[in-house]
Amino acid sequence: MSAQPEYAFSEEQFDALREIANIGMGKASSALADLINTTILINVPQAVCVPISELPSVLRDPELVTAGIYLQVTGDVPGHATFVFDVQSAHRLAGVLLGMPEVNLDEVTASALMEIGNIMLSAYLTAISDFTGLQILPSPPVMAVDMGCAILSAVIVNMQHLDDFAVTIATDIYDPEGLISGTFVFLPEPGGIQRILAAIGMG
Amino acid sequence: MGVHLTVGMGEIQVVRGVGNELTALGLGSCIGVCLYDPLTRVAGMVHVVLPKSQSERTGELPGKFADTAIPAIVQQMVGLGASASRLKAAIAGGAQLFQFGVSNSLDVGSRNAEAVINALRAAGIPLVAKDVGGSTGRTLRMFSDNGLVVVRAIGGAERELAALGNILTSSGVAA
Repeated sequence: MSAQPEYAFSEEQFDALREIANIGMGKASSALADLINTTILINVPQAVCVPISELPSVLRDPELVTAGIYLQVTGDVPGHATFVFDVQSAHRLAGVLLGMPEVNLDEVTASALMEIGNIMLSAYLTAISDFTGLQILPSPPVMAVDMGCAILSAVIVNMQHLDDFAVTIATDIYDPEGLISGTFVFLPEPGGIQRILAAIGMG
Repeated sequence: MGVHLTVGMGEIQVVRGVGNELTALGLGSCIGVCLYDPLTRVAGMVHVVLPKSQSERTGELPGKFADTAIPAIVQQMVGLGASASRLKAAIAGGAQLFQFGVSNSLDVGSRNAEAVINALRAAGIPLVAKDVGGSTGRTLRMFSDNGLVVVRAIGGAERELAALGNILTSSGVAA
C-alpha cells in the first residue's frame, strides 16, 4: 500500500549524514552551553527514512508536552528544522536566560526560547554550510507548546512535497544533571539530501 | 479480544466487532475522522494530513489527503460489511499550533477541516460532531462497541465528542 521511498540511500550515505548532523549538533550544543553556562551533551544522531505515520517515534515520548521551536530552511538544502524541549526544560532555559527562577509561558518567555532555538539552529546550519559549502538560510523561528507528536505533524505539513516517507535526522541533547532534555529534528525536502551527499563526494 | 490500534499520519484503520479501540495521538493541524456503522459495529479512523492530493502518482497513501481519504476509508469499511448509507462521522483536529512568532505558513488546519467536511458531504455521510480549530493539539479515541468518540487536549480531561452508535443521532448538525 505504501510507496517506496524515492531516495533509497545506502548505509554509507546514512553514516555520512549522521556525521554531518554530528558536526552541526556539536556547534549547536556548544552554543547552548555558552549561553547558559553549563555542560550540554548530545547522543549519536539518527538518520533514517521512516513512513510519515512513524515520524513521531523519533521522539522519546511523542505524547510529552513540549515547547517546539521551528524554522524553515531555504537555499541549497530546503527543509524544516525543529527543536523540541520538554516543558520543564523550556522553563528552566528561559529562566536562566531571563535571570528568573520561575517563568510562565508568556510572550517574553516565548521570545527568549525562540532566541535560544534560533541561536542553536543557526549554529547547526552554519556548521553544515561551512562543511559542505552549500548555502543554507534559516527563516525567523516560530514556537508552539504542545504534544511533541502534534508539533512534528504541524511541521511536516509545511513540506513542499509530502512523500509517504521522510528522511529524518534527529539528535537528543541533555545535560548531565538531567535538568534539560530536548530533541533536534531536521526534515529535508526531497532532493536536499542528494545535494548534501553530492557536496561531500558521497552522491 | 479486541485490538487497540494507533492511527498515524496518513493511515487508515478499520475494525469490526466489540472491544476494539482506535486512537490518533497528538492531532495538530491534521484531522482525525471517525466513521461508524452501528448495526455491524464496523469502526474506522483516518488521520488526514493535507486538504488535497498533490499528484496523480500511484502509491501515495490515500489517507494523507482529505479528498482521497474519505472514499478510501468508506471502501475499506464496506469491505468489512458496513453499509455506506448507515455511516456517521465525527471529526477533531485542524488546530493552528504555532502561535508565537511570525508564521508565514497558511493555516493548514482550517483548510483541512473545510476539506474533510466537504468530502464527507460529497460522500453523503452525516457529520454528527466536530471539535476543530483553536491552537492546541488533540488526542482522539473511538470505541468499536458503541461508536463512542472521546477527545482530549493537552492539560485537559478526556471528554465525549459523539456517540456514533446512538441511532437517534441521525442528521448532520455540525456541518
